Amino acid sequence: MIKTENLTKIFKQKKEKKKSFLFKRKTDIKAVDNITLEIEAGTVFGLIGPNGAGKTTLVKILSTLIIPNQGKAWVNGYDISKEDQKVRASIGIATGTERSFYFRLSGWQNLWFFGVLQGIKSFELKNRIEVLMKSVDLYSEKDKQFMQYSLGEKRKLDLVRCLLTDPPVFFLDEPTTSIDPHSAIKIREKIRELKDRGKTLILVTHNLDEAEKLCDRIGIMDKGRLVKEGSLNFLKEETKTKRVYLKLEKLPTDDLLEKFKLFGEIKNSKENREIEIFLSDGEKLSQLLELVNSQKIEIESINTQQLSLEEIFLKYTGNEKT
Amino acid sequence: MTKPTAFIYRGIITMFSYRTAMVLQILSMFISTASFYFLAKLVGFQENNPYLAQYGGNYMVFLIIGIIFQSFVSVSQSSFSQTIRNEQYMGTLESLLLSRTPLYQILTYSSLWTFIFTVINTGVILAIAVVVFKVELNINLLASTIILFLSIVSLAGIGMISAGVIMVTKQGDPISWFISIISAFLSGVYYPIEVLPKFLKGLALLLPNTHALIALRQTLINHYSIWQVKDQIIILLVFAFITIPLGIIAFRKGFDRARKEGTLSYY
Repeated sequence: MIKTENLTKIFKQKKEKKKSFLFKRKTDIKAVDNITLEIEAGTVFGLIGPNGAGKTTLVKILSTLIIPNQGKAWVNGYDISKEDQKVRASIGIATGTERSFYFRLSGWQNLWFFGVLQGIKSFELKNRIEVLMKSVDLYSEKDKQFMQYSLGEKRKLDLVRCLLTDPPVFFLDEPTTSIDPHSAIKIREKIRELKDRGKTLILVTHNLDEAEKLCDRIGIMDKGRLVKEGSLNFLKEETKTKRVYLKLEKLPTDDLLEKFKLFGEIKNSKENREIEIFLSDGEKLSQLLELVNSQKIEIESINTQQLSLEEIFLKYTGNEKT
Repeated sequence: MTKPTAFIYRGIITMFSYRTAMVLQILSMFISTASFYFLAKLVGFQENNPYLAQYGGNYMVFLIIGIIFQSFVSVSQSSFSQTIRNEQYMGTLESLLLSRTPLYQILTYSSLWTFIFTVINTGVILAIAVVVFKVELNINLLASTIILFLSIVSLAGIGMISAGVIMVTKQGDPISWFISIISAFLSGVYYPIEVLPKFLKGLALLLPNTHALIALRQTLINHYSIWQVKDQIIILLVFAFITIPLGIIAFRKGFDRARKEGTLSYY
């Protein structure tokens, strides 16, 4: 349904150092770096990554708003370079910006305007707007000017607009960022509903809990690269780091603590018998236990855990604990 | 509702939401018409003025037609780029481009309300001039409409080039600025081109606006037929055939460059 091959986008960015009185030097920034990806129909694909990782640029390339420097991509089977009109007709996009509507028009008038542009007949459009606005609890605010909408209402309106044509593919860029929990729940319900109806979604989000709950697969982007991609279980298994809780019968010696550090980052204090170790390689657990035994210290309890998505995210984006 | 109607509907709602601006705009229509009247009164009715003789010697008629035409010139040249600029500023350009409406339709329909408003605006000025200030016109409606339409179409090509430039520069439209200034200065808006020095007159004749204005005055004042203004019609057609394809190419290039640079949503 969505496929990319070595997709790359380089932007020329002005540097502070001036070349002359008027012109600044330009430098190349790789916003999207050689991304190859395949998303099957009916999948919710979460795209996570730090600010500036290239998530929005990737979505804009796939929605034909940005032309890539190299590589190819297909959305709903259409080539983004050669069949841009067909790609646009196949997608619904919620850009996540606050400025993509006409401020002086009401919510209803805005949806009506964009609906007509999508070629939806008047009678059908009226029904759709009504049903969709009601489904996200926005109908009572339909006659309010867009500029008077709250942030949550703006996000809901953005979502309703991209649902108007009921396309097979959706790009949702941070649909729940900065909005209240009630509105966020409504939007997540809508996403689940789309998933149940077999739609393909790319969900760009900073909310990792949301990504865990909603996405079938997750892609982690950093500095333009897709550094890791797969289901949540796959990501957890692929990430060798494991969190190990050890409770010792007595306080560990300084020497033992130093040796623990060779296995990964440790969290404890000298006065604590409970030690949390981020084992950089889960398979070394047996070696760790042998080490404790060799020190003639009994282990009262042991508990191992896989990393959370947040920890996996931090690991792959250069801010890992281990 | 059709797509063009949707754009007009949006234009009307937006305009009516700025009530003060709307009232001031209507007021300025009356004031500018009165200004033309007093200016013409100062210059006076000059039947024997060789420059004005072919227009019946009435400077007010000459001036009002020039001003009305200039309104269309500036709308034709700047409405496309202004549309792009407004959409960039509002942040709605990407949403429009993502719709199932082709780019050129968006550009054309977005300018519709501005054209309609200009027709209303100039119509009111003309009506005030005729009813209140007793300006005498002998209009050949068909010929005048054809000349005006061809002027708009031929200048729309330049407007599209401007829109292509705005796609990239975001603010600052040198093409529209240059044509508007040159048009007001050389094409005979405020004075007949016969008063210009020979070399400037030669330059004036290179502008389609000059020919359009000559023909428009003759069809509005002297009831000239289409046949009598055929030379100007041919010039405008030739100009349209050159500028429209150029405009389409330039706009497409500007649009693609903004997509390459990732700056479609910038303003």
